[in-house]
Amino acid sequence: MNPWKVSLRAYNVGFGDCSLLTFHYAHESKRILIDFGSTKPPAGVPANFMQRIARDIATGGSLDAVVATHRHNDHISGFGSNSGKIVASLKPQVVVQPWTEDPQAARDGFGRCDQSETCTPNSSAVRNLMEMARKGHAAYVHSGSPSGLDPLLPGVEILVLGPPTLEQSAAIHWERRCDPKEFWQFRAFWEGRAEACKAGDLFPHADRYSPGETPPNLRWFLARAQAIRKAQTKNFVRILDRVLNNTSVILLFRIGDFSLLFPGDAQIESWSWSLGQKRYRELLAGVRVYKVGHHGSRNGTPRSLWNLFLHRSRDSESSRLLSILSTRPGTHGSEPAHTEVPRRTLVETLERESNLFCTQNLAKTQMYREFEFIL
Amino acid sequence: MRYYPTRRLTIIARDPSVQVNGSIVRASVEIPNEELASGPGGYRVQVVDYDSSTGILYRTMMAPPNRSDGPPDDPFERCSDDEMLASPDFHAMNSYAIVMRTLALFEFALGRRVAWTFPGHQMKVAPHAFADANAFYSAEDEALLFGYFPQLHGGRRVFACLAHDIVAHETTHALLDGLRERYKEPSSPEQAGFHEGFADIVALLSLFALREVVAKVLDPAGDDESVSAAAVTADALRQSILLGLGKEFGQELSGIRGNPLRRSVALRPDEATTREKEAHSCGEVLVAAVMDAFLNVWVRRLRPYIRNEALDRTRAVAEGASVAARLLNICIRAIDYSPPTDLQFCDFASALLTADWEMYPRDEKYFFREELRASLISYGIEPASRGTAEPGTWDPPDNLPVYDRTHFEQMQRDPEEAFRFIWENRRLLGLHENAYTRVLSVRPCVRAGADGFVLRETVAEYVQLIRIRGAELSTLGIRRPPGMRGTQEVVLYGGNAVIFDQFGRIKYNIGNSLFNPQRQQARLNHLWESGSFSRRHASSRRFAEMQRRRMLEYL
Repeated sequence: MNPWKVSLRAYNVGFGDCSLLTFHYAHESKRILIDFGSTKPPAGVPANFMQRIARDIATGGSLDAVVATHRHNDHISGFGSNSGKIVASLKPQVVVQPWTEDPQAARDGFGRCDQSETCTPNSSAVRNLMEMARKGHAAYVHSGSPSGLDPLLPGVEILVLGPPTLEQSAAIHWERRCDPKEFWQFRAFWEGRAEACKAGDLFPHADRYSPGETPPNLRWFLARAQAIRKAQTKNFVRILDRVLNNTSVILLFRIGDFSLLFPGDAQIESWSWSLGQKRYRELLAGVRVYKVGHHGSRNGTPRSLWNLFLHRSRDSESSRLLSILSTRPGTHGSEPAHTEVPRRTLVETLERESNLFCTQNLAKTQMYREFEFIL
Repeated sequence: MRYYPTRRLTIIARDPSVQVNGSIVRASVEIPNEELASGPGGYRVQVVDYDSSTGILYRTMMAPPNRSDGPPDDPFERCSDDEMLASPDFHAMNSYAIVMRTLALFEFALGRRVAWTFPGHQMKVAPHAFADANAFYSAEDEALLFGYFPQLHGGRRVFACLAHDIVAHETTHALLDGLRERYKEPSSPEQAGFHEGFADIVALLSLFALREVVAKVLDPAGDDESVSAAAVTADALRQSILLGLGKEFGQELSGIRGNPLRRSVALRPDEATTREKEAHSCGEVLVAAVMDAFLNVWVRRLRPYIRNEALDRTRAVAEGASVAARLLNICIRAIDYSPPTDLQFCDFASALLTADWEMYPRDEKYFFREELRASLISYGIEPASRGTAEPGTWDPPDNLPVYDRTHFEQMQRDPEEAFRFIWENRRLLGLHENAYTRVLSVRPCVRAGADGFVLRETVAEYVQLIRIRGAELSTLGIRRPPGMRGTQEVVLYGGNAVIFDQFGRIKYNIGNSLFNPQRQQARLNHLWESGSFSRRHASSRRFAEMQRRRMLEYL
């Protein structure tokens, strides 16, 4: 039994991602929500727009699976608070997340046990994802692993192209210019913190002031030192946050010779592993629908990936590649530094060589655009 | 009670990993004596042993009292290594001693008191500030902060406050910030690299000015009385430094600071040119050039003492420490002869040569200028000035200024009087009349040479600042960078260090004019291309950010 149609809704969440993928079979449909987050709403929408999107998703009935490509707010914020409650009420059977989210994963530089103490702003979304995973089936995936979605989607081949594990790619430890041995910095920081909290004391036998007797002339500095420690932690979390892009799940759905690619925010370091695999390169060549990676940033769509797509074309033929870009310009980066998102030169290429749809082009009254593909 | 002007304190010479025969190499350093409060707390430094990760504020011991019959006792002179490492009092005293020693080196070289950049007089030093592989200077918090963290392999902790060059490096950031506050502003890769590079130069040379460290380099086992001639060539010394210090320097600590010693000794001129575009690589090139000159002068000084293919170890050690101390003096004094804004290495090269020329016009004992000039040029750093008195040194102004309406006696301590002089001579000095102009400091100096020669100078430092729109850049001969809007606000900086002799006449006027379109264009292009106009730049704890970026090699 194969699906006869696939539909893809690209919701306008401003700067963020939200795709609803529906596989239509003869007697039923299977619905998968891939990411649901936003860090900057579309212009002119009401404050509860994420809740409205969740309600809209709910009108279609239950969800069969959710995929949270990585734990950045622009991909998972909607899984938190009120909109998250609506998603949870749709009782997804499978929750797909990167292996780094696995509670059983060995403790690591950016493993989850470290994250939990870092006051990440999306903690309610993370908790909700964990809860949904606990009630259903949790799939913590890595390149080459089963997706966890196969039993749900007969006739669909689902390949997990990323993220690579630490063993698969040392590059994921840190972005390209950083030597993997720098990894110890993360460990030194977190283990130092953990040890300090556990041991509680550097010099157990040394004399110290009790909390109430701090000399007045030192109080100003003590408050500053506390603020420095907080700033240090925040700074480190920001650095770790960048690394998370490279733990983003990359999914390729194949139905016969029709395939759709969802790379989340995977950046060059993560792609370099996948693109190094011959089989993956062959499969990527046939992609017909490309959900543009990392909101159109310069690192999200490596040239070596783009050049693989055989359905790129300057002619508007029927089998031309469809690119779907979910973004909001003016949120990140700067044009003089060539870091603006979406990157102008990439958008020009997408327009020239594919049918480009960008969520920012939707009218205020349009919540989404739906694409249908008859198989 | 009268007390002795200096005191000696035991410190760890480099860090606990550098040992001879299983014992940590220590040094006894001489620093200004004072009546210390607990902490220790002195007139410029207050150690606060607060650990923000655990919230514990340690009580530290009272320093030994002063005596009238000699310097106060050195409280850790006879402690075992284990006792030192386990004592928070030693950690506090070690940090205090290194900060004070670095401060004293600056004050001696410059011939005057050196202020911190913040209004207070006492720098807080936190030897166990947080559990993190980090250490930095924070002007906003008026503090030097040193972290601690567990060893990568093994169960011990690593303390940044016990690493001499880390403490000296951070102290230098603070002192340089007090002397040239504009050097931390965004300008060019060279200026950005200078803060790091200069701090490394001071840290390394102050390390080599310790005989104990030099002895460890020349004779790692510590049991020879002589050194072979083959061991005192520049290349052999490079290898000895790497083997004696670089190799043992803990991997953990090199994570905080990188490993400037290794890089500066290993980086050869042919590699340098490919590295000079990025800020921290720029800094490394400068450090490598100065360390190259240090080794060459040292080798040159040792040659006459070689007899029968060997020389006395004590002599070799003494010469190494002496060369390092003298070169350190030159480097610090060169700050006074450097422009207050938009520093380029070529300016610092001329400043180095001028600083030495002023003290020792005849370069015939150590040949510092000859070696410095050759090393700097070999690393691609050509002095900015051609130099009429001597190649590479700054030249005096071409025209005579008007002295009639100002009083030099008053000008030596009154910025208002100094401003009047500068304003009266604005055309001669190349000032822009419509720019905001401010005298940052006027500092009389009495510089003493090793031979007893005394040089009296006054250094006045002023800056000019003009805020214009992109469309107005052409009035100053500057092209608007491609993509910059005509309404974009642009801030241009100029500024000079004016050096007066003891009679109040201008010797040098060193700096950058707003009317220098080449320099202004280069700076503007760099800032525009690096995205400085569009990014939000955090001004707070700039050194902490810098340090973290460098630590992760993420610039």
